[in-house]
Amino acid sequence: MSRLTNQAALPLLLALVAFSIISASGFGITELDHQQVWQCMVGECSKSIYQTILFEVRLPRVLLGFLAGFGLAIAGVLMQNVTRNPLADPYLFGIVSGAGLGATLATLLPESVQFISMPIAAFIGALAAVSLVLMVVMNNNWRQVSHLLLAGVAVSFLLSSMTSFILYMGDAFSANRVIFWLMGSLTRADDKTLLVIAPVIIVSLLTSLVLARQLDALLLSDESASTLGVNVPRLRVIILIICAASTAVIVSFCGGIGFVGLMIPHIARTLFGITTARLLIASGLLGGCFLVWVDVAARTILTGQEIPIGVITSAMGSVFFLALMRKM
Amino acid sequence: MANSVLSCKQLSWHVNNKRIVSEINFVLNKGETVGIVGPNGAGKTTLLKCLSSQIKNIDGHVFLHGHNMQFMPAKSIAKHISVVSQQESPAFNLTVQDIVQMGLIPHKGLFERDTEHDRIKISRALAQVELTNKNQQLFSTLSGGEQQRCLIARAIVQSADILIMDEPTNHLDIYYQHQILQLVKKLNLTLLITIHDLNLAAQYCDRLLIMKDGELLADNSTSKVLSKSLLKETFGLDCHIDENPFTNKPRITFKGGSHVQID
Repeated sequence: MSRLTNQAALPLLLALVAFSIISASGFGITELDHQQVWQCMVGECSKSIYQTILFEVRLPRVLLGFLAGFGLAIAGVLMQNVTRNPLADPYLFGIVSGAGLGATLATLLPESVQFISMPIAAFIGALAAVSLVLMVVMNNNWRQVSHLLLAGVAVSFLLSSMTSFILYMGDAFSANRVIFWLMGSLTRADDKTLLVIAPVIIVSLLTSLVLARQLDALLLSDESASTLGVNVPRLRVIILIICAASTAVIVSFCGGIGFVGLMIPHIARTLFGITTARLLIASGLLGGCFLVWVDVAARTILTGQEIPIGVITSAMGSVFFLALMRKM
Repeated sequence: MANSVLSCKQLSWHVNNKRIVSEINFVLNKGETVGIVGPNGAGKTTLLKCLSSQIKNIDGHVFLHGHNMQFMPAKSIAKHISVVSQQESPAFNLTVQDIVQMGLIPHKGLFERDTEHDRIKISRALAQVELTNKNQQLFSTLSGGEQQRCLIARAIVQSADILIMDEPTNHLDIYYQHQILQLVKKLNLTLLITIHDLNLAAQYCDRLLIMKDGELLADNSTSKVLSKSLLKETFGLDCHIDENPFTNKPRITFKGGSHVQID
């Protein structure tokens, strides 16, 4: 497939983003349809309740979906470029397992503080998982990408087994809540959530864009990058920290939404090119739109019931992963 | 040593208590083409990596334009030394243009964008290596010779004054071997090249270093280094040396045959 030029790609993606956000806001259980959404957006709401539903319920959720998809996709780009492995994904670093363990431990705290303690504990767990991976590989051939990935998988299993043990020993109610949370959901969407996630994603994107040229150098080989003046170990640590922070903050509010970071960069790479700056922006915008529409599907496929968003992304992602492995 | 651009003093590197490169001293002068020859495992590639700061934990010193390279930032080194390695196999489908563009990296600040001057520089480099019409082609679909030319174009864009090449003629047929070496000679850079083919070394290098078991056996002009006794000591084979009728440079023919032992 031929790649789109810069001039064509960005307007096309921005149009897709605008269409997705406005259009997805028209789906829901109340009678606020697409036409009324548009009227509310241009300041001509027919009922004040519509304004409340749109700006306090639907739009925050759509925007949270967009930001989560954006963040996961750029974390995927960074992980794949920095490890030069097309199968790399932030989840391979044990981030979800770490977040899951944190959330599970939070259920042991008094119920009154769990609303706030669960995301914080998940965030700490996710960062701890990445730190553990880095500690394992830091002194031992850490230039080798395969070591990094294998350490991630091992840490992931270790933390998952600890989570399973705690859930097994704990009470059924708390266990159910953690399990539902781990499946991924955008139900926590509100202004406060957006105000926490948005700055982290924006800072991650800007830092990655600043380092894009150096990341490009890594695409050939570590040796090649170092002869081009890139401090490879330092760059890798910075990028892993960015990935950990952005994924952890998303996971801590939205739970486990797997495989977005794997699928989207692949599609974006085919359509928009390989160099890091283009790929970051294209993947981010595409990933945001993708998750917005997955959430629409999650809310509308079963009437009166919501499917956890992570279930859909994991189902799609694992098929994609298998197809990719077959092609490799 | 006004002409010295790169030199090393008592340069050694060991891994797991085994010395791979041992107490090397030599000077690379401006404009020279110096070849490093020697048997497999002699430490040639390792020496290049030490000299281009890809290996950092060395014993001894490397000086670049008189400055101790250990204290130089990677970016400053990259402004003076470009490296073309044996073979690159990118994990993703990079185009020729993507790779040549990477040559700009050492010259760009974090917030700097490409300028019109950069674009001209890239297209000139592509023209120099005759890859202009393949600039959008995937690197992985190029022939071995074209891949080498693409990496040379990246080195041209990098604008370094020293070009280090690790066995650039490996895997290339005889036409491309000469094409690549003629191309880099035309760039008027200081060249340091590891090379297996002694006749190519004789034809294109001004000076040769012979390495064996991590040590420098000889450092002299091509005609002096390519002697029967030294080649016998290095490669363990008898040879005949006469003159290449086209270039008047030494031509080496190894005896080979039944006395070559299989270990």
